[in-house]
Amino acid sequence: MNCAAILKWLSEYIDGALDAQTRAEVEKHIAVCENCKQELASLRAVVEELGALDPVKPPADFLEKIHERMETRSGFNKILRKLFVPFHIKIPLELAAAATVTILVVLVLNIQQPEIQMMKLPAASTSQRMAEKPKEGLIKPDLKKEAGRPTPVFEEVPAKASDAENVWFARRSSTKSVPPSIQVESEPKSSVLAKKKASQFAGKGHSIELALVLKTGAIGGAYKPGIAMQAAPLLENDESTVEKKSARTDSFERKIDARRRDRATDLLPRMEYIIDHLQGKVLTLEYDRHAGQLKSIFAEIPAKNYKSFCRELTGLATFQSPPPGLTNKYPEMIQVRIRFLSD
Amino acid sequence: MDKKIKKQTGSSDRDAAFVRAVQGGDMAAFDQLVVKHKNKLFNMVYWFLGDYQEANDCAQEIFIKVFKGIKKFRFESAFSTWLYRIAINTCKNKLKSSAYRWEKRTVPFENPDSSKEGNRSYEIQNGSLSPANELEKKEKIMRIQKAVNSLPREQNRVIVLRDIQGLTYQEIADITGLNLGTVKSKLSRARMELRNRLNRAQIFADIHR
Repeated sequence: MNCAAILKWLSEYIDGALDAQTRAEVEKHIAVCENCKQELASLRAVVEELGALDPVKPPADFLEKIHERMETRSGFNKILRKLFVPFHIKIPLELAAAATVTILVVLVLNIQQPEIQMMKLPAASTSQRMAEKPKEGLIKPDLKKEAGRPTPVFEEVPAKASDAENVWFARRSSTKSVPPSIQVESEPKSSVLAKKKASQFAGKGHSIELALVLKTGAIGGAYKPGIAMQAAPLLENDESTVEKKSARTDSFERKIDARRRDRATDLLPRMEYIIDHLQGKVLTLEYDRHAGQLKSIFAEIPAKNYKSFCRELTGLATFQSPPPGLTNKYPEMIQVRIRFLSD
Repeated sequence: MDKKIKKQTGSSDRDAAFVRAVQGGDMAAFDQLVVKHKNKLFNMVYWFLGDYQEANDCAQEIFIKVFKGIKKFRFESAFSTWLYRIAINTCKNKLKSSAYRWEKRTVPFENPDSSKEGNRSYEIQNGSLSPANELEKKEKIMRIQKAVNSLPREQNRVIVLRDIQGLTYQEIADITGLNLGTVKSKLSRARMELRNRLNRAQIFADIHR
């Protein structure tokens, strides 16, 4: 065996880990080889020096420090363990809970937004407020016993009053009307009841039914000349139709009808002026609470002024059908019911 | 001359009993395990890392890891083998993360200021140093320490486990995961390299005396 091979075995020879045959060969070689002998000696010295080193000891509080570190970590780990262990159960559950909460929050916000918008809506026009204002089913004119013309419940001047309307108001303020002889109560909630109230006056004179169709656009712009003056009695079922319509309380539809309602209420002061000018008086106003619309005016006018009255009305709206003519059998004062219809 | 290898007969049986007790929730049994193994473990960790404070911190961490993982211990190996495996892995990670500090600690032998850098080495303050030969011994220890720490990682590991800790080849193979032949060859090369480095350091020291 040569020196290179012997050098490979020296480490194991030092540890006594060689088999007997290899050990014998190594010993035989180093007995005659000075270099390998010195090599063996130096390696053995290193091993002995390392083996003779005093062990490095830990500090006296080593165990205490371990306990301190364990206690510090355990509190935090308990929380983590409670939250996340076992992972395959708690993490999916927690994710599902977080997703559910997020969905609920989004749903609640989405539901609240339309409500918030709806709450903001009634920055309504004055005329719309006027139409909504009366809560009773029947609007009574604010009849004043002292000299003065009957004034409707809608005290406010329509916001959309045009110059033409202003003229009407001016005229209105300058005239004196015959004080009404009948006081109307406010109770009835339905238009049917209003009709009954109106029928109380029927016996005092003949009641003529007129129907005005309100059109979009300027008030009075729907004048159609040449309409024959023939009767167009209203049927009973028209009332039920109104009731059906009045059953719609949807605020959205109320918005759609707002313009029509405005036209109806805008007509009221004009109607009052006309009636007043023709020496008549407004007896009742029929207001559809559900639809928020002025449905009809029941008035009493001198028979002799009936034609003038119809002529004035054509300036405001269009008759649904030609108004009936008067015969000689009609008394001095006649009662007229003007219904407002939407186009 | 055979190397005197320290072995504790019946030690593994006692360890197994302590481990079972700890697995049952007995904290006192864990303390017993710490007390029994802390000195050897600490010494080994010190020679791996080369710094007393680092060794203190790392050794504590190792025992905490042992405590956390003790319920998973299945007695497939001796407790000490398992403990040393954890120690080696923990020290490996520590050395990887503090490579810069390791390089700082390993002062080349050619550096004339190496003898002045005594702080890290002499933090040991182990009372085993003889006052009479204190200076010579301190210098000797410092040279050995630096030489051991300067070895390549795997050579450092096997020489510490074999020549400082006194483990057998088979135990070293079990702990490190190396096969027996590799352990022997690495140990042979480590001893030769350490001898060479110590000789160079001695020559350097003699020249500058």
